[in-house]
Amino acid sequence: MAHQIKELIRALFQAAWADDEVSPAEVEALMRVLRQLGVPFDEIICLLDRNLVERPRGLPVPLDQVFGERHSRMQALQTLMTVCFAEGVLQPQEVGYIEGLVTRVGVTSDELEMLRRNATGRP
Amino acid sequence: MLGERGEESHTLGIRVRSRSLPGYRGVTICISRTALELETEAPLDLGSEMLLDLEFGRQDLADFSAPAKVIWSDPQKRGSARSGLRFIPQSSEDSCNLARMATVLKVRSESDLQDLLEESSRIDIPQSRPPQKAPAAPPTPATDSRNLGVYIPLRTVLEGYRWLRQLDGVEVIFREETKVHTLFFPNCRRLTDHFCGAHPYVTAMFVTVTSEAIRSVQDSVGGCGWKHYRLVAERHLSILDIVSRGVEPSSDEPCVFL
Repeated sequence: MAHQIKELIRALFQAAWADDEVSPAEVEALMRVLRQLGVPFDEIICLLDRNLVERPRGLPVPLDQVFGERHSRMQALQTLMTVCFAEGVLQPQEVGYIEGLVTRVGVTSDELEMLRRNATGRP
Repeated sequence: MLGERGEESHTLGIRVRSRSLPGYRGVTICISRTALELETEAPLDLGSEMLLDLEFGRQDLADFSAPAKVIWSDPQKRGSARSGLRFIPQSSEDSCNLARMATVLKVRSESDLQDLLEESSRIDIPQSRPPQKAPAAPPTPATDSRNLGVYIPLRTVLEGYRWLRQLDGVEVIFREETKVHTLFFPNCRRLTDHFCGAHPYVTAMFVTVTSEAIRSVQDSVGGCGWKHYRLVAERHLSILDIVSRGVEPSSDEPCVFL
C-alpha cells in the first residue's frame, strides 16, 4: 500500500511537470491531494521542496503495473487528472501525458469523460 | 512611484493587456504590490479605472488580472505616454495575487540577474541567446525544467525555532490549528529573524536555489546544494530566512512517503 502511494506521488509530480512548469494552482492541488493521501505535513513540504525546484528524473510511472486492480488504477488516474486540471484547462503537453496514461490503463471514452468531469467539477 | 512609503518597487518590463488601454496593451516600467508605472501608446484619462491583465511569462508566477486607477499620465515623445496607476483590489483574491507577486519579485530581486541568465542558458542550450540588458526574463526551458523559485503556501503559525548543535541544523516548529509540525534545516549556515514574534502567521514558504544569501554562504564555506528558504507573512513580509541544505522532516517517526 505504501509502495503504491509512493509511486502515485511520483506520478503526481510527473503530471505536474507535464507542461514543463508547475503553476501555483498546481502546487495547491498537489498539497490538497497529498493531504488526502494521508501524507504528513512535514513530508509534504519536503516532497514539494525536492520535486518542484527541478523536474524529477525517471521514467513515467507504469500505473497499470503499480495498481493491479482496475478500480484502483482508475482512482489513481482520477488523482493525476485533478492535478493536470488544476488550472481549469489542459496544456497540449498535459493532454499528451494523459493520453499516454489512458492508453496504459485502458480507459473508455465514457470513463475518460467521467474522470474529466470529476477533475474539473464541470459538466 | 506611487507605492506605499517604504514599499519595494521593481524595475521590470511586464506585458499588460486591457480593453481600456490605448492599443489594448502596455508595458510596465516598474511595479510594486500597490502601484505600477506603465508605458502606453497614448496618455490615459486621469481617475479612470480599468482591469489590467498582467502577463509575467514565468514559471513561478501565474498571470492574473487586477483592477487599477490612473493617478497621473505624462505624454512622451512620439505620442507614447508614461502613467502611474494604483492597484485597487476589489477582493481578497486580488490582494492575495498582488501580495504573491510582490513576494516573488522581492525574492528574485536578490538574485544576480546575470547568474540567472547564465544558468538559464546552461539549462536550455538550444534556445540560449546572449544575455540581455535588464529587465529581461530568462528564456523558457524546453525539456530540462528548473524552477529558480518555488512558492509553497503554508497557512500555519510559526511557534518557534531552535538550533540543534549535535545535528548541525535548525528545527522550525509550526502549528496548524491543534497540530504541531516540525521541519529540520540541515547545515544551516545563515538564519535571519525579521522579528517573527510580531508576525507569527506564515502564509507561505519561498524556496530558491540562487540568491545573494546563498552566494554569501558559498563564499564563506564553499560547497553546493544550498537552498534559501524564506518564510513570509501577509503582505509578503519576510519573517524568517534560512540558508541550509534541503529541508527534512524532523519528527522521530520514520518517513513513509519520502
